[in-house]
Amino acid sequence: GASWKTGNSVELRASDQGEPLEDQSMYEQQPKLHSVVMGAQQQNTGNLQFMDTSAYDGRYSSTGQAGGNAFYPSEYSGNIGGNLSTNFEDEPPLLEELGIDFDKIKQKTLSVLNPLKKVTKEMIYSPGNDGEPVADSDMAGPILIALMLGGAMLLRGKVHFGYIYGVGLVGCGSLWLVMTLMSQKGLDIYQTSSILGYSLLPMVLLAFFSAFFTATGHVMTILTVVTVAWCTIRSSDMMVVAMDV
Amino acid sequence: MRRHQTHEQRQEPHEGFDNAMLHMAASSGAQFFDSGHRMLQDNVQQVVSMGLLRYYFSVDTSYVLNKLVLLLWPFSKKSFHREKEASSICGYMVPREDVNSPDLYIPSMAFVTYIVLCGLNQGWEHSFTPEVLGKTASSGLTVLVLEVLMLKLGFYLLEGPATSFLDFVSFSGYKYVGIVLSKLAYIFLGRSLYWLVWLYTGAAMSYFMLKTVSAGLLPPNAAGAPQRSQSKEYFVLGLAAMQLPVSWFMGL
Repeated sequence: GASWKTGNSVELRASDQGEPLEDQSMYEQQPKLHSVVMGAQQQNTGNLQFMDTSAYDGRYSSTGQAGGNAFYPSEYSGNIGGNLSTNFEDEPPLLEELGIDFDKIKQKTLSVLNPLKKVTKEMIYSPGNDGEPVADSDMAGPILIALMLGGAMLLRGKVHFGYIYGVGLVGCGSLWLVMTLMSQKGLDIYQTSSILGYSLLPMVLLAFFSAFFTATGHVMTILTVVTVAWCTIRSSDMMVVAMDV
Repeated sequence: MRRHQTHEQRQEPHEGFDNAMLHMAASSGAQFFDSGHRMLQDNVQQVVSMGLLRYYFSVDTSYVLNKLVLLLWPFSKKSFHREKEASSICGYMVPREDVNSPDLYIPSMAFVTYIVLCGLNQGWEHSFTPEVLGKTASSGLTVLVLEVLMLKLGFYLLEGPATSFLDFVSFSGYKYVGIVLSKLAYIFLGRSLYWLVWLYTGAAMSYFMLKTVSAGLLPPNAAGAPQRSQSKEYFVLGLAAMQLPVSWFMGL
């Protein structure tokens, strides 16, 4: 009731005097946000001023702002104006911001599945940060494929997610090291991981298929050899194209 | 509501002090970390840097083939001395141009092949767990470290020429070619042929080590005549003889 408002007005007076409110913790922001929802325009601007002049570095203030934005009803976003950079209407679409391009993912997946189709440059390259085409470092597809591999193993009763991550990480790291040491141009580690992740797809198919057969029969051995060769050929093709060798 | 207010008021006098100290601590912590990181990087760069590693990985197909043949039949080669070249990073010719030059490509590939083969072997015996890959890798690395330490100690005590420790790593890794072959023989051809292949590849590796390390330890002096030193030769002989039991131990 009354004591609540007194507490808030004490802080407002400090901000009106223009002192930077460095000593406010995240905990103390919460009563102010309540006051935004219940309160008048004046309190609103006061709180915004507080958030702007806080002396945290960029990381903390953005968390504060994100948390703050979550509490603000949408009609207040007009008042935020030029002070905060994350205006709700101007944000790019979520998928573009995350870097997930479903078309590209589908294209790469199909190119791995079809061992006869030649890998072209435009399948792997996508516009990089400075506009020039750079080898794709999309990780959404590979992570999905790794999870599917773990899921396929679950069908056989083996919970091997940790091993997939571990061996995958060691494999990607060592292959990146070898590629960097042996070539002039070299690849980014994310680019190598992306290529290796996509070429893991035939293994996922093999894993799903092997749920129905024993692992060491003749059929499975031949299938395994074929699958490993398939994975290797596709990943080598993609790496050769990506490194422009 | 009153609890909120009193808590706020209790916290207010301490907050400014804590946050200012936090910032100072964070920035000085970052400074310490940076300087420590730079010092570590400078010291490590002297021993193993990307430029030096690139030297050991600059191989091509013909080098790899010739070196593999040399590892399995070293008996007919005359000279194991490395050719010098002043412009390269370690004073010798790159592996691409000189078959006697050690490289790291063959040892690392042979080691990984060996790990994969161990996993495959266990899979065929229905006793595969993914941990065998890690275990094999760790035991291989332990043996490598011990061997490199021994070589380093030997070179230091016998006052051999300054050799980069990556040379020792590569010498120690060459035996995996023989181990891979022995393991393949074990998997596909049975135990008796395994002993035979192990014996032969072990002997070939021993001879190869003998010749290469003595070429490294006793470089021909300025007059071109080879030096002779009894202690050095004993050391090299002992090293070569050690290849056999080590490769047996690893190939189990």
